[in-house]
Amino acid sequence: MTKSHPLFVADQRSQRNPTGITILLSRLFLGGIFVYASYDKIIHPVSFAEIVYNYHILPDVLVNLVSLFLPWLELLVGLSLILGVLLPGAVLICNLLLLIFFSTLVFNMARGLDIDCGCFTVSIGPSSGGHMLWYLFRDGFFLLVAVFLFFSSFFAKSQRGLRFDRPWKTAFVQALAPALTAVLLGLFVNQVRSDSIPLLGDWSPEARITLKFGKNILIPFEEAKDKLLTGGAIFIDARPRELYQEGHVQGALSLPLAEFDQMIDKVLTDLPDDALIITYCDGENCILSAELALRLKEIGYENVRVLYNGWDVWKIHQLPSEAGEPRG
Amino acid sequence: MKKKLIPTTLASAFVLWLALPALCSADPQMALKQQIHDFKDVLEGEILTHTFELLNQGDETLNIEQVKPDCSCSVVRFDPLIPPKGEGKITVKIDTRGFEGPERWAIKVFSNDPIWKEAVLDLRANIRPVITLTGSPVFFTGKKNDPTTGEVEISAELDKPLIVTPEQFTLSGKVTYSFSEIEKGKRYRVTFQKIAGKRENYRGFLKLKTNFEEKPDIILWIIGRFDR
Repeated sequence: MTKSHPLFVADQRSQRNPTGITILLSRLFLGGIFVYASYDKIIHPVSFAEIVYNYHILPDVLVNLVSLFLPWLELLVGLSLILGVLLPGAVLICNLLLLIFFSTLVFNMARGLDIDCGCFTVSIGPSSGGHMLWYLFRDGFFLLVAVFLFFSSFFAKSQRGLRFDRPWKTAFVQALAPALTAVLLGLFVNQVRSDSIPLLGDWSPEARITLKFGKNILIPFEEAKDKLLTGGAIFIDARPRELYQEGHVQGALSLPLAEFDQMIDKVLTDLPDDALIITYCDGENCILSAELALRLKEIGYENVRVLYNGWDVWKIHQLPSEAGEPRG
Repeated sequence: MKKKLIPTTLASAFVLWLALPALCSADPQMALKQQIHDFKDVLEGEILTHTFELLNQGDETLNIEQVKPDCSCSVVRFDPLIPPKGEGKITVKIDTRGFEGPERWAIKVFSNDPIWKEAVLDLRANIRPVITLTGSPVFFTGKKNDPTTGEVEISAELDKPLIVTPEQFTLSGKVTYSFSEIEKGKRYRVTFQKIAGKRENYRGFLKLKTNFEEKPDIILWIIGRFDR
């Protein structure tokens, strides 16, 4: 770092200059915030990717890449601010990031999205709880501190002949260092960790079911149709009983997820382990069929597949269906 | 001053261009006060309800043509007609039985808003079990060094005493079980022992009754696989 940079000079003068003390404290404060904010995101990349996805701002394909790179950038910028290394670049990135975070919150508030901020923790629970207004206030405060550092860094008036030389050029060059390091670290750590995520994420509902199981257990519609027509599979409707009664795949059994423990022994009596079971529910985002498949696999049924958006697709294609109580 | 005038004018024009359709529209215009609601931590078995508020920012009546929940949530009620500049509500209910961990549900709202015909309301919760089972299901195999016993620990996650009583066992003659209380009203252990000599495959369960209304039954599965 250039010795004449105002932030560096602020350190040296901080003992006697109130502005210098404020700059130093601001740096340490923001640095600490950034380091703290990065920790949980680095530890839990899948959860953080989910939070980034929930913002509905990035194209799906970029969600995973940003989730891998951003926490490391936060960590490096935080460390730079605390240690006073590559400061102009760190201040620039810090402002840029906080501006993006703040704008994203404002944008989502305007859209009526009350989402989990994911700013400091990616876990769902009371600790991550908060309201958008609170997030906005908090991030607004951080941004104010960052803007103060920014002006102190790039627009400070010359004092005692000490003025940072060509701050913009230096800042841009220095900003590249943590950004590139963050990309490399993000990619490298993702490669070596056991819970790595694919670089180009697929966030479609189908892919989310696959993510939950660790492998693709969806059955293509045409294959499911053939299995029904040839009697090669047992269809299980995972929806609540009243929806099943309104209409279901012909011959399908009813096993509402909510009644799994009460109903399972009555529904699947003497079914061999390797029997093909196809679970389905209704709607693109319905999770009952995937949850039911998971439960069936847990108790030893090996050949369980999920017909994605099953009942909707079945109705659209006008395939054999019926209404009423389960048979038998 | 002149330097600032051009970007300011351009920015204002851009904002106006964005806002103009909304200001001039004579159609119904749906807006949501909230599109995602997170219940955070809830207990399994709880029935969750939430009311979403909708606004009609247009100059024609907004017609909510259909509210379609995905499976395990149901729409309790919704306002089918929302007058210009008026407000409407959609109340939904979720049955959390059978779920565990972070979950999400979606409700589609179809309206006569020419631009936003289909909105998706998103509900989330982290569902905590009221009773935790460790070691279930129990697997027995015929391999030489595999254990002949299996243990399942039952732990109460609520601050009230748990009482469990065996109700049904489907593997008599193949497996035996014993029941012990590790911590009074809090933790129990069920030990299953496979009966020597029995090598046919089986899948069965021990059903336990509990005093928790949120989880009246517990099923402990026992699976025997000897043909592999």
